[in-house]
Amino acid sequence: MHEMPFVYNFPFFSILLTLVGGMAMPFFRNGKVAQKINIGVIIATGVMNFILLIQLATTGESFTYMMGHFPAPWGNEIKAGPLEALMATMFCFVMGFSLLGGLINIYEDVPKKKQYLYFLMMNLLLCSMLALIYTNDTFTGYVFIEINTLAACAIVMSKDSGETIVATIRYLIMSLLGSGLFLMGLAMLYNMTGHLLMESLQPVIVQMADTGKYFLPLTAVMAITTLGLSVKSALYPFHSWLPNAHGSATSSSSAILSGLVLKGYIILLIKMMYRVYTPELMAKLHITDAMFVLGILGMILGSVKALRERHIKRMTAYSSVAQIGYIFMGLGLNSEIGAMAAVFHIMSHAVTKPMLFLAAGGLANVSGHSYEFKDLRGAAHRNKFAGVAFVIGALSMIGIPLFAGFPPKLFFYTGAIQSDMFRLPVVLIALAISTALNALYYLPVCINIWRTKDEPGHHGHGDEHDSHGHGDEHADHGAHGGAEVLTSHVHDEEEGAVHGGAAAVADTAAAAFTQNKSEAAEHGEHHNTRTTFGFRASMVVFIATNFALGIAYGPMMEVIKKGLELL
Amino acid sequence: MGWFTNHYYEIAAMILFGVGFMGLLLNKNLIKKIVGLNIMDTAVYLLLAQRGMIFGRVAPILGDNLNPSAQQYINPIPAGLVLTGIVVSVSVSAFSLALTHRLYKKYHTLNLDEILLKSKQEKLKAETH
Repeated sequence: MHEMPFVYNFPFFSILLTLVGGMAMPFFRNGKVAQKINIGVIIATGVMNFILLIQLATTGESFTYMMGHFPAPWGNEIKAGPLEALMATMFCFVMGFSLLGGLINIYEDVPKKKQYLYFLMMNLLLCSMLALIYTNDTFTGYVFIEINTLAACAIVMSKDSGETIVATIRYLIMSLLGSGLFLMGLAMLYNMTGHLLMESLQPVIVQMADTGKYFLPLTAVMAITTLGLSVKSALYPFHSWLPNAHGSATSSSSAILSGLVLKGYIILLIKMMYRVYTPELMAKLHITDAMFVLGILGMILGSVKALRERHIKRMTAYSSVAQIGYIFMGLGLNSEIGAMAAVFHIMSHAVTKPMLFLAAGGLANVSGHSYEFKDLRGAAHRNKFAGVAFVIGALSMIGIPLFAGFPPKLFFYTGAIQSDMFRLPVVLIALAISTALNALYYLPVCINIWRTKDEPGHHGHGDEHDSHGHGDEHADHGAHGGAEVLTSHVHDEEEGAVHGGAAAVADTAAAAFTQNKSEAAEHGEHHNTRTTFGFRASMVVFIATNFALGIAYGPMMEVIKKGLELL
Repeated sequence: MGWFTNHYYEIAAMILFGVGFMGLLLNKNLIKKIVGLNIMDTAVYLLLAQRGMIFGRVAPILGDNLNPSAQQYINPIPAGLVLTGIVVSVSVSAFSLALTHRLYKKYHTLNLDEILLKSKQEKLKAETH
């Protein structure tokens, strides 16, 4: 143990550092200080995990790290290989930039006294996700699942409104069902094998399967744990909590929940699959078949639901359901390349979806905090960074070459060819349908947000939305009602520097807020103050990462391949 | 029949788990949902605890026993798991109850359907204003 390289301590250090950083925040009770601690911790853990990733990817090895020097069957362990280090690095990276991009919204949406708690929950979330990635012990996995659940619920409800609390309670109930199932599965597994460490479990399970007598309990255990994790990662029929939770939370929360939190459970599932159950046994007991079927259903029906949404964040949230379907479909392909593609899709979705959510938040910020399509018309002209980022994110989700969403689709095809004859046609058709549906719901939004701003003179002409036409006709009457509130804004602005784009401001839920803002926004350039440097920086970084993943996918696939072999 | 009498703990645990799971899933009342959650967790603890207990043996604490042997003791890990699980369950219940309290103060009902309806109406009202 003495010749262990120092970097091998990094997984444990990063889990501990995030936890301690969170614990330090209540001493300051100040949002700004907490934010600094949080960003510092994320940078530190990101750097540590990146160094570890480089070390493990070049040497191509994995290691186990004993906690408290109790040897294998009894102690608790951390196991890290290239895949885990890659995921941990990516999680820190995405979380850091998601926070940076949504900072203004955090300070607006979260009550001032509770801002430090928001960052505390972020730290706990990162801690629990790193632990889910690195742990080699199933029960530790369960404990951190629960921590993750509570932290995730807390960041949903941090925007203090009736809508978010209702969304949180639904999220909480589904999450608790999922973790309850997982815990039951673990208890049964422990009863059968007497082990909790993943690596000690595997030989016993293989032995039990070889006798041929234990298929029923093994199937039950696998089904229960997989089901529990699927509920938590919003696989199709269990997704009902997701659109509300992700659609109503503040931008950073939505970005992190959709991009990372769902993936934490999937990574645990992949680890259970490879380290405990072995993919062969899961295929033999038809668990992967179920994952495949539900994944395909999710790919198509998630997109269909997204197609019917008129709320940009809820649409993006339903798109996540579809993307989770892709990942489960890849895992259910029973082929090496399918699993690799699924892992790659975890990454490409993790860099794309936060960008989409943050861009949606940025667009809404310049449209009177409304997420409805009709209010977002022309919003991209008011916030160019968000507009470009949204289009790139949409193209990536559709799967256009050069973007991050393309390589996984390519490898899903390759994986399907490797797979059996029943899956190949299903995958081909489902991928085609799902891609078409993605294009059908993303492209109209992209066109809508880039539509040229209507000039005040003839706005309302080619406009099918009532509120606009109405607003123009009665521009001088400052009476009650939705259209009239809108009208007064339009009127105000026509008096000042005429800025037709702001005419799209029709959010009445935040009417008072809007009023202040449209007064401040009499000059066109005041709109740009809504996008801070942090927002622009995070958009640029996400776009660059998206291209990097989309173009240089070769080396990434090598790392993933090595990582899956060593898992 | 013998099978049933030998495995009554497991059977009880499974029945309790089902009761709790369905309670959490199907009850409309939020408090009943939380009770269901606790029943579900308790079922798992029952399953774990009974596996950890062997009658006639004691917890592995040395005490003044001068020549200990493995035959006198039970495996302490299941008990440890149950304790950890109880801690987790307490914190989750506390969080759910706090959330329920907030919802009750806001909507004056514990019925989830009514809460959803009221929040939807609230949203519509905000949109038409």
